[in-house]
Amino acid sequence: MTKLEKPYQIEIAGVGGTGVLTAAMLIGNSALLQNVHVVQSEIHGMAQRGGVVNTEIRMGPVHGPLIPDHEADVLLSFELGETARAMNKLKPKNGIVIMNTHIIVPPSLQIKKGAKYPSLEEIESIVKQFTEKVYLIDAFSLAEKAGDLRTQNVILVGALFATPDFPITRESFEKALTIQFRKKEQVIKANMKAFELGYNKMKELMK
Amino acid sequence: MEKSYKKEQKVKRLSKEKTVMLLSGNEAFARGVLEAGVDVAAAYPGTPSTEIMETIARFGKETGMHAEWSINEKVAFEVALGASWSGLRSFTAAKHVGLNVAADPFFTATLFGGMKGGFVMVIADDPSFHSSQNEQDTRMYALAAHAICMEPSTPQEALDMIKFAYDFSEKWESLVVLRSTTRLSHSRGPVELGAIPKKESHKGEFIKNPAQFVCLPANARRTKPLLMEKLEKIKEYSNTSEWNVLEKGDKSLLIIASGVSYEYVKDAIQELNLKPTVYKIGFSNPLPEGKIIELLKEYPKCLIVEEVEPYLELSVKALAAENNIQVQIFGRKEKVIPISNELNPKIVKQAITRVLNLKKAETEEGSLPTNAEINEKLPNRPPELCAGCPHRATFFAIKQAAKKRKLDPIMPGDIGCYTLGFMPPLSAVDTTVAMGASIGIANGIAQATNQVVIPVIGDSTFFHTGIPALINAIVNNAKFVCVIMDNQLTAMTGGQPTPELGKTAFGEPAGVVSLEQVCKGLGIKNVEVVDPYDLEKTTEIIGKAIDSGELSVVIARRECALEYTRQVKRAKQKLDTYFVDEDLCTGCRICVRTFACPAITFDYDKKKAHIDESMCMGCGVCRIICPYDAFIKR
Repeated sequence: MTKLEKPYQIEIAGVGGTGVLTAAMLIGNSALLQNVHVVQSEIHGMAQRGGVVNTEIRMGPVHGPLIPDHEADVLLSFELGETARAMNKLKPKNGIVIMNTHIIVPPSLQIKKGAKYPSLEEIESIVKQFTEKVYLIDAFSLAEKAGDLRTQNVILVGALFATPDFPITRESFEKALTIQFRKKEQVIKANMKAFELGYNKMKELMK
Repeated sequence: MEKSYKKEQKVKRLSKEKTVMLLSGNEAFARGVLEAGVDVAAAYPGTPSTEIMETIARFGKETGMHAEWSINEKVAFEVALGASWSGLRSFTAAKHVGLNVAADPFFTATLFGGMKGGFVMVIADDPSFHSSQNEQDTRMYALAAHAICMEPSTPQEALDMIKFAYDFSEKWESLVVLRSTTRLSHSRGPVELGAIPKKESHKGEFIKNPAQFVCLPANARRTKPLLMEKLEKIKEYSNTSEWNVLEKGDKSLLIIASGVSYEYVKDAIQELNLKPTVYKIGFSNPLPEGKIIELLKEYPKCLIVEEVEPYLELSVKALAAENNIQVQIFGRKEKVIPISNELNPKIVKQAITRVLNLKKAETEEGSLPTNAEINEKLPNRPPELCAGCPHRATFFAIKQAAKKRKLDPIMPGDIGCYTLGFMPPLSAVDTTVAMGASIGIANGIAQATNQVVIPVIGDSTFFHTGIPALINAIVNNAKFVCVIMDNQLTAMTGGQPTPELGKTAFGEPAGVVSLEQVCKGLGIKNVEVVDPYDLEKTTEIIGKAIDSGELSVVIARRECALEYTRQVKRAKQKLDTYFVDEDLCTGCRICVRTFACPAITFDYDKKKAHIDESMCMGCGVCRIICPYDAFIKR
């Protein structure tokens, strides 16, 4: 039984179809397997229609499912631009941002002539006003390495588990993964590899 | 002492010998239904309530129960009522606006009672309009209909309350309404599971009793005083109910809260390091009036924290006034709690700080960019019709047919994925009001103007409430072209079966209803079925229907692109995707300007269109739209 003295809170920002909800389930179940109290909130009415999908995970001595503004310990972002949109959730100064450099261009942007998606530098400059602890991960390339593009979400989850003071163990994650995808050996294998790649990448970035 | 339905506190709950799962509120409601041994469950999907019935459909079969996706919420309610009157435990669930559809039988059922088998209904409200046209407060409905109403605040309570509600419903022969909200239905927490009972039989017997089941005025007149008497007794219960929990703190402030708002209160006082007294209302109608009066006398100030309407606030204020209690009450009227949108811990913290005249803590947040400032620099990301969605092609065909005739038709829309046809560049939805309202409003516009009217409605919505409006057009000589976008599913809520599919909620074979036979059977002469991927033919047929000037129906039939993609992937087959031949592409941007499939992007450096083949599902409509034949099948 792991007892958390104070809340540990993770905001996940993404777009419908990027595996936000699955990632949240894996993290939540990992916590539960360690007997850590966990509540989480998700809005998924538009999950498969390309809309913004955010999930909030709260562990330890917490009550409601929403992270109060400026309280998240980590912002885990599955899409570059969406990182900036969720910054107000993060603890200023001490909060950690793990962001995917992959972008998903909304179709509505295509209609306007010459409208461009913000550059990595533009997004970074917004994010860095909130915290110095910003880690960029090219989850798309790493997922290619893992052999399945759908594992981008687990690459990022791997990076999350590598952050200092993260209260949940790798063993719990592996157990949660096996329960979630039981009998799907290939999926488990690819995701284990993805987790490892994300975990090691984050360790390397933090050196 | 009544039997307790509540589970022990969290820490103990996680001990090894108990099964604990991370369930959403909706999954917990469903689990409660199964653990309560419900025999008949019926619902129509609607966010944020859908997963309740989905979960029941997934796991209910082995219990021997009957579960169904009904044609609309009114029918679902009546199915459950009929089963309850036959002595079986019955259940229905809907989103808040679904109760509007079921309101007629709901009001009468609560008046007449007679629930021989327990009857519980979960209604999920949607504060902040996450996926709804309005914010409605189901507690106001309960008050108006004299229905028993309860409000769980966590997934665990969702499960526990359902089981209590069935016993309570049977004890009082009354319907029990459980009010959920998005942040309960769609949030997860640890839930300790109980056992699912094994049952001998799922058949009941309807015992005739016309005085109870026939709502003639004479019977109603006799029943109303009996209902009011019953509610007085239940009010007594409410004063001592284990669902209304008093957490004694200091004497500075009394906070009354219900549902998920109570959880926000707990977060807020923990963060502010305060210990006010908190009264959690889980049994909301009838309210524990005696207990509230008693409490109001003991505190100088009272803050009411609840979502959507000032349901508790109005009652508490009335009780204070009637009993001459000198207490300052704060809620929406005092603008301490905002009038619209859902609450969160921050709002509650600010409310408590204001009511207690506390100094605001110093923060560094002031110097950080605000949400609005950040959003200005980011592209919007509204939900869109999927890549390959047949609705996009149908909308495009309607627009083409109108353009050729130099017409600007009025297009009343309806509720479903195709409401997204509102978005540019299609901009093809002129009104959206309620399920089935496209055809109803088309009737009105056709009678009131000389404009061409083309209502657009989905297949599931047409069966739900569209048919009566179409009959109305026939018998009142309204002329318009009704386009039914038939994707063979209730797609927006996750692909529930429609009457054309011939499948029950458990996936077993069932009767089939044909859209075109329904329309022809009504006597409409111009009924055509087209494939929207055949853009030219679809445009031609819609054009002919416009030219006829008669009441016509065009059924645009093509399976939901999302479902098609899922099936192809499940069968481990490949999709016939398209790519852009850059030698043929002239960079005219017609594809992104007028059609806007999410799989097509435009590269401004190369001045060429590009297809993201991980999104393309191979509908091939872009090939028809491109004047230069630049889209090529791989």
